[in-house]
Amino acid sequence: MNQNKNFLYSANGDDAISATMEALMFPATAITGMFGASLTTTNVSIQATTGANDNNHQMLITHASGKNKEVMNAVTKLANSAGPFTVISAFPVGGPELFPINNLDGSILVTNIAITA
Amino acid sequence: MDNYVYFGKRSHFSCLANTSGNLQKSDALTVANFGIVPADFTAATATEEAQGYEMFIHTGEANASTRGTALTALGDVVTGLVKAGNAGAKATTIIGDVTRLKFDTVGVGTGVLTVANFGADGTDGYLIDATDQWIIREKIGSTNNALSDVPAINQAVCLNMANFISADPVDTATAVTIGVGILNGAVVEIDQTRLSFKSVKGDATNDTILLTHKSGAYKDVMIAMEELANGAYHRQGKGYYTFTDLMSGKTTLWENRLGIIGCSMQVQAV
Repeated sequence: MNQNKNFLYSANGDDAISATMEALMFPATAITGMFGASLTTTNVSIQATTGANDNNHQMLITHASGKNKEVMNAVTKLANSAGPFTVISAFPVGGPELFPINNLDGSILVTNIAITA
Repeated sequence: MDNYVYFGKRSHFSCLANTSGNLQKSDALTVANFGIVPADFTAATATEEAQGYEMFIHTGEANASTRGTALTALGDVVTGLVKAGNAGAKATTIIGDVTRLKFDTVGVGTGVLTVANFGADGTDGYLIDATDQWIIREKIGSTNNALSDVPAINQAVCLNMANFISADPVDTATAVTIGVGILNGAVVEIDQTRLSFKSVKGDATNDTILLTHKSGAYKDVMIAMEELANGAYHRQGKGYYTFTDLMSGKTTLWENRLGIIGCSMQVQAV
């Protein structure tokens, strides 16, 4: 049965993705909330894939100073896009890390996305 | 697809004055009633912007020898009028006055504000009456990094409305006196509503948003939450929906409609 879900994908670290949380794919509806963590970082919480009722995964996005609202807005747009497989950041083998999220707002200048379990 | 809603903090607190040895003290600002509590401060010359909040006294009873000359010179917060007359007249308050306090004579310790009385400082002091009310709110234009100037948890949050759990009225009365705030240039009675969401962190403790709004708007706040939860805003491709962002200096539709003058939050640290 086609569920028409939008799944988000983000990779970080290096192009040889192999370790836990070097990449994560999750349904867009798994985002529980976002807040500015500093002038240059915004935290996105994602329901834990472990099924535990605590310690959601955290996606820490590094961006241009003071652009927290804009980053949250861009993440929301990606979450509510048609999908079905929406890339926030990617790390092609042999290539530089890519941040398609920057296409939604040229001012946010995302330079890193770190995911923690 | 889900609706994501942005809540920006502008803390607001109101309480009835205390009595006896605590006459010059406010009730304590706490995480529950103010969000991020201002750091301790010993009375000294400081700007409201640097401290990040402003303090007012709403007069409940007319009294002579009450208000310092420098406070009178600031003008009434609501009317803008500077009281005329001799020194005695300027030091006299009447019911309904809203006087801005200065940090020169106000110290803060564990969330409790203490103002020097008029007898001790005829320039910046204020002799509290037990019928007076304190109003304390964050200052738009704050440069206090700890309260609002540099993004951090509990300063603003964007939440998934799919995780909304409930809305619950909060009693703002102290003794028999209803809380007050300043809305559209007038002193108004206020109410508060607490919104609960599943924790952003994912633990068992819910995250909460405390909204301060005009009196009687409880049900309207709840209706707003229903609309935000069930509405089709997510289909418009505009990103999140800004419910309240008072510190921005702009006014959202809901702030205007519900008379929202305060918002603070308790989000579990991740």
